[in-house]
Amino acid sequence: MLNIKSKRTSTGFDIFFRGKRYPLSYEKGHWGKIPEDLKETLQRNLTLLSTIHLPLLFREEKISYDMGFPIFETFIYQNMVYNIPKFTGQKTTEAIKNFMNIEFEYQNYDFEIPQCSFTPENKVIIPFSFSKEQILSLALCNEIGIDATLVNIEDSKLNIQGDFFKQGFSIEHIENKTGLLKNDLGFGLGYKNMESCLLLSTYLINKNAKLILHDNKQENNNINFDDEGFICYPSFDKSNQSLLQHDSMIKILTDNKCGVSSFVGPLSDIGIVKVLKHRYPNLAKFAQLKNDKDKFRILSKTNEGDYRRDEHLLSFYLDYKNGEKGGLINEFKKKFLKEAVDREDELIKSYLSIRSADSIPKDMKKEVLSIFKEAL
Amino acid sequence: MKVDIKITASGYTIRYKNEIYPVRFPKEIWKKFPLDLKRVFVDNLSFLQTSELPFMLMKDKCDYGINEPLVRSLLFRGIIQYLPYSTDMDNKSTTDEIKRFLKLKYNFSGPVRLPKNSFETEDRGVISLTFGKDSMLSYALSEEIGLNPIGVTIDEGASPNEIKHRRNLRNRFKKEFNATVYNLRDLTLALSDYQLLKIKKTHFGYANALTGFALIMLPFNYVHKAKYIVVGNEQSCNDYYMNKEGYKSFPVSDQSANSTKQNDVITKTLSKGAVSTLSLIEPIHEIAVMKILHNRYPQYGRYQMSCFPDDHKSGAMNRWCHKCSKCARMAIFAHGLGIDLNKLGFKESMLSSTKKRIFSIFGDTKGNVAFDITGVGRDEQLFSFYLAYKNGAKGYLINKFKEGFLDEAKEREDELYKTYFSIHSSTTIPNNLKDRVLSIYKEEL
Repeated sequence: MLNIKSKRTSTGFDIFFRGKRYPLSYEKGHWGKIPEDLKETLQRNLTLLSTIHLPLLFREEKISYDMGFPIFETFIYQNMVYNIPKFTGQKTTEAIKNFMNIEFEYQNYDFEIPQCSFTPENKVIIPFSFSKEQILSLALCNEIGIDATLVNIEDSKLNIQGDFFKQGFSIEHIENKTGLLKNDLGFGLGYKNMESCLLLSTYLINKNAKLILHDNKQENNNINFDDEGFICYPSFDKSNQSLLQHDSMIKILTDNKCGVSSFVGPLSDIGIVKVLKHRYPNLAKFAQLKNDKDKFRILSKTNEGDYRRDEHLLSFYLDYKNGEKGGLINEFKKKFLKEAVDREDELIKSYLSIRSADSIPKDMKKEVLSIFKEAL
Repeated sequence: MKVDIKITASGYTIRYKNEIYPVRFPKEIWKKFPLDLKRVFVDNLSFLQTSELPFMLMKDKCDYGINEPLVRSLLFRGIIQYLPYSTDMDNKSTTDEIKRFLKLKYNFSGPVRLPKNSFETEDRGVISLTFGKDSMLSYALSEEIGLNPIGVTIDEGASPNEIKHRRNLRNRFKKEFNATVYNLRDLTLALSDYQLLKIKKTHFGYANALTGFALIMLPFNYVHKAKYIVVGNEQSCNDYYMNKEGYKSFPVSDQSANSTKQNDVITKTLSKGAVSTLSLIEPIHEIAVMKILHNRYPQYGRYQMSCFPDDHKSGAMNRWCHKCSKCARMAIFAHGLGIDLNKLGFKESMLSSTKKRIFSIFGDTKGNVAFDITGVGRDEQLFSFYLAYKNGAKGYLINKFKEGFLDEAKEREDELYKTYFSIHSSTTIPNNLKDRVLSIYKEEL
């Protein structure tokens, strides 16, 4: 049996596992302003989220927590089941069976639904680590006049470029070492959005904001199947279904006052890059973009089944049409140009059109979509 | 596939293909339930009542006109944890069915809706009254600890004998005890019935049925300002066995303590923290439920109906059909506990040779009761036979028990007493009620 301990601190809480401490800490003064019932709910649910995979990893049948029952247990459980085909590195059939057989035990089973009193304004919170989706979300907020607070959740070191701050932006930080409990198998990636949605609920309250903006985009809904025939999401946590569930979680935590959305939901990767580069070149330069070598690897024969292949085919084709030169473009011309030309209409329709905008709140949809229409 | 849901003057309807499946509340209840609560309630209940349908019909997608239901992940867990049992019963591969279930996609027309209206509540309990031993004891306990219970019977349409017997019991019960008991008509259960759906026999379709029977009480809680939904999930509901593929298999996974706790999260969320779901009988096993019901509350025990009387012709005239494994289990509990079977309404001896095949202890049980088919209830039956033998019960099956099982029962006597007459976990009982309930159990066990 595995034992997990969780202890409150003045800036957050620590998780203890096998004698090691994994702290989660907000900036000074932030945590103290959070209502007690929300602190308790976050501590319990983030502790479960950070450790739910451990029995599977250590082949244990039971995990015991020295804390109360977490209200989002089923949300975290469902996400874990869908993570298994991608992240465990074990045979999916065995891993799902072993996971379903695990017993979860809590010290007590009392819980409260947090109650909070604040009035949200037209402000958003963006989890921020300079991804292109986050930069585009920030740029869109600037253009349509929404105040955005950027929060970096430090599970990895952030490479901040000084020029970014010269444009008047600031970034708040959450030190999150609990990610170390998951990183070995990439499980951290499988919970990124759910985790940030829980962590950032405190900013909704402290900043009187009404939305958390996530980075769910079209590709996140492309499914695949693993060798055993189990459905495999690139990251279930970033799918449209999860976005709706994260929205439910935030509504529960904020007494139905706030929600979770994604401005980039109607776009694909290429669409995001295109809008960012053409409409917001001053911000686009801060975005961490994949280099062409990665793109070419995805086009290679061994990755033909990869769900992103067609998108990268189009990306190369657009680079070629824009007059880009170089060895990779030459190789692309030789191997893939004919296919790209033949499929041009289909590829553009798939990756440079605006898809379902359900992920954008109704009152912002018109403005955001109008920008996309102009930019694409 | 597509499922259409519509709020009506007395409840709501679910339309699938050209059939309409209504849920009808007493008008005075539904009328007083505010519209924003109705919407939220229907988003969740209608999904619960149809979430297994696309899987049963081998579909991979289902479109709904309702908003994202809050219960989605709760039902996901309920279904995936029910599959090891249902596939085992259906002789299918658990892994293949899990694989198929994970592919199933539900589409909703908008984000989750939560209520704006608050519930005002006081210490009252609403109980889904089936007249089974669990609901009868829950009612009696609720009354004794001051929860002033309201009973609700659910008429599911497809079981005429059960409806008839329950209607008779309800009318007598209301009159004798001056009790508040409503009747709710819910014809959506037809969407879980393989016979009505005209598909191959399956045990699937009921993964979240009991969760539904709890959540559907919310309008009664609102109108009667009742703080609690009291469900009858006893300790035995946590029992499981390992199926042949190595999955933990829970015959009634949605009645486990964990599932009851998850229901509590949902009812609290849907009522802005006001309504809790709890099970007063969580700490005790089935036979202990029967013991306390008939020893402490014989006036309610007389009403017990624990059989599915529509499964056999003999169930038409009597609330005990005498031919199913549930009748067998209740009868041997009664023999073991010294309860007069005649007073309980039994008309035939249940210890004759013709009854052997409906007692799970003798193996190869026929029937549709999970605890008996899977063998999960075997030890409790062993203990009951032992108590019946010690009480001096006579008959062919007592002799069979003596031949084949008495030695085992004697050897395991202490363990069996400890398991079945002890007070176990009480995770679903709120602290403010716990002492009062446990003190009753201490007096009785």
